[in-house]
Amino acid sequence: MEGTSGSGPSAESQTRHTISSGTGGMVAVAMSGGVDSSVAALLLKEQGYNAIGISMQVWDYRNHGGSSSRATCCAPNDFLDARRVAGRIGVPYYVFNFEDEFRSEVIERFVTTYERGETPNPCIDCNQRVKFRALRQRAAGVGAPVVATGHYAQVFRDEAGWHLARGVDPDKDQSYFLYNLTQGELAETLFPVGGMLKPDVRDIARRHGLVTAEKPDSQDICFVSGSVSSFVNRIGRSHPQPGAIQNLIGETVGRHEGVHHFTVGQRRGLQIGGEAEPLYVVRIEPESRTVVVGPKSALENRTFSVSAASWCTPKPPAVGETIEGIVQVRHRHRGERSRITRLEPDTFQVEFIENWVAVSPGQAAVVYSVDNRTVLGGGRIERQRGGL
Amino acid sequence: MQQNNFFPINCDANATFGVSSELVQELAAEAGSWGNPSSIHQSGQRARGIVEEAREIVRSTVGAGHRDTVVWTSGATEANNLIIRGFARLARHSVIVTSPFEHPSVLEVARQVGEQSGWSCRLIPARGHELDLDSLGEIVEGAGVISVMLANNETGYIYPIAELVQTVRRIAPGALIHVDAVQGIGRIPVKMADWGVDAVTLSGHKLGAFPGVGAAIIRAGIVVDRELLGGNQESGMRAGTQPVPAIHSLHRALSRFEEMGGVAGRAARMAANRAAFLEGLGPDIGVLTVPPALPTVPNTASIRFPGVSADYLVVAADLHGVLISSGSACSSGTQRPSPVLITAGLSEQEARETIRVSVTDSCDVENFWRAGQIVAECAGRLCRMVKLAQAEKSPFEER
Repeated sequence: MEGTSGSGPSAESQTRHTISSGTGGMVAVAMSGGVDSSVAALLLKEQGYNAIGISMQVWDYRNHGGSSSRATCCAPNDFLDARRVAGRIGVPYYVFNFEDEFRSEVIERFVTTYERGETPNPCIDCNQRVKFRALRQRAAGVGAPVVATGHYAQVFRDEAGWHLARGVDPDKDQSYFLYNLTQGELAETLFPVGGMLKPDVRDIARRHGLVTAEKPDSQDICFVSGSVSSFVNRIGRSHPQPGAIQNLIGETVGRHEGVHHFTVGQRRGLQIGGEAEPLYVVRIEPESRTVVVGPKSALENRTFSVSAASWCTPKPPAVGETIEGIVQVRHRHRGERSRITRLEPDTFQVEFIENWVAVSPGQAAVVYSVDNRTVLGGGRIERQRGGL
Repeated sequence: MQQNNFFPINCDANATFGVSSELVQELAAEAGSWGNPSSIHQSGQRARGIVEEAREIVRSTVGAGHRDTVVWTSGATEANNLIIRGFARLARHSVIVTSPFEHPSVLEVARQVGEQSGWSCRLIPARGHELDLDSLGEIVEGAGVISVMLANNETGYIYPIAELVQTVRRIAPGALIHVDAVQGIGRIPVKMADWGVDAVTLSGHKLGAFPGVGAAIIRAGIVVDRELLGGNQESGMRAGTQPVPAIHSLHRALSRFEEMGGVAGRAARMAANRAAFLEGLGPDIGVLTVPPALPTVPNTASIRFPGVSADYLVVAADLHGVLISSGSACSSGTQRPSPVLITAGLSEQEARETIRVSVTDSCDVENFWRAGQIVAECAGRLCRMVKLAQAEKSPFEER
């Protein structure tokens, strides 16, 4: 096994983070206007960091509708909340504009991934390309090279280097979304609430009278206020093309309004009646605009390959090496024991050892240590030749 | 780099000048005099005394005649509204002329008067930072109201009011002329009576008084309609109890200003502070947007840092103890370049790279030198980060 540490991470190890000297020790806290990042800022301030609050304007809701939706982040009211929290805890606060970066790095990927029949994970793109790259660069530009967020994940260090670990709260763990942070980025990242349970985070917010204490958790994709498919219709370049729904032997069993309505493994919303077993989307063929459906057994596939791989562990497997670990294929998935073989520098193959689970091309497969605590790396699930 | 979060160096005096703690202490001892100036009793009389004394010093500050009217308002925005709307009701001709460099509290009002009253609203053409005085005659032909600022809040450029008034009086003799002098008062001589203008606007907090008080100084004999209905204060031109503490603070700020050499002394101190800032900044990093041959108020410099976002430079400077401004409206995170700079001929990109430095007249010139150095360091760091970001930028790879 590679890259796991015997001693688990703790909230304490997180605070022992060394911050580059000569910068005034400033930490930029990404404040969404939610309770987690509010408490993150508060904790940093209490721990003596020179914290500054930054809200990221990534999407202009006035131009894209949806300002009334509670599910969205970075709506004007969220910034008001973040500003009030920053004022209450006594940290400077600014709004930085990342609309250009967000549009090219997140929205475009989101839409084109759906358009080619895959299921994107915009939060991962946003973390990697906007929060931990563009924000970090901009924050470093104003003098704050260390970035902190309200993510439920932990960073700790041992002799080998920096490690990313699951958040302590099993219901809130967000390490899945952070697998593509690099060693250099982990060294300059703080997750102040990663060692805490969500109810305790809310308690702290309440005790300090933060206006965000009772704010509901955000659930959906922050920039989509209605349905994903209507968003893709509105923003996408290609007009949605209807196509056939076929069964496994190629018979047309229905019609659909565009492949972007579907995700492999999806059961609901197929509107095909009269079948003995429930039907699932087993494959999407964007070239012919065909959605292939079948019984659950047709989803079984014990191996799949992963591209655009990135290893955040200080000791990634060598090319050609096979390791054992836990692979998580979507946010709410608990992870399956797997054998992971690094094929090329940026690809690997996953083989489930015991149980299998349906995987959706485009989603992230994240590799954890065998004790399922530390993130080793991850990548994007490929469309499978033949099978999926 | 020493950080000082609570007492930063104010290089954003055109936003607000700041109230000195000595002034606050002095006023605190006299808080008992802040009655209602309309009351009959002695507390009211004392407040009335403060308010009337302050009118006197305001008249002399702007060079108004002894019988000209000082109408207290909540600030310069209200004074501009009161004067322009009031003048539009009094004017004989339905043409309003203003400049494209005006503050929104003039420009928006002039446009609205134009739209609602069927007036025509004409803008004097810009020639770079200047106004095209060659076409002035044509523009002011038949004008009823003219409003031009004395000095620009973003660039500090001084408009040639005396020359402008001469042309207007020759071509449109009956026109009512207003000068928004907010950014000129206390920086350069203001000569309302000598220029022969009909109204001048003043803002208290740009002069070291508390925010919450402004004045419309209106030539004797002209009565403008009030904008708010209510009591009969301010000769019926502005209803509502006067903000006595703010007026009191304005009186004290202007008195102190007289004691410290008046406008000449203050201008010299400001010029020294601005020079110190520019020296601290160094010769290589910024470019002045207003050509040095043009007149500017002594405290203001508009500086462009090629390749550096002004908004981020404002944040960086703030985090290192220096207040500056970027002129762009980015309160919601949506950055629009400054209309003043665009009108003056800067590209959007150039406008986004331009900051405004506006110093006070405080007697700590070395602080302003240090502020210049800090801003240079911040700009240098931002510049390096931009280059780094460009080098790392990966185009969105399609599969």
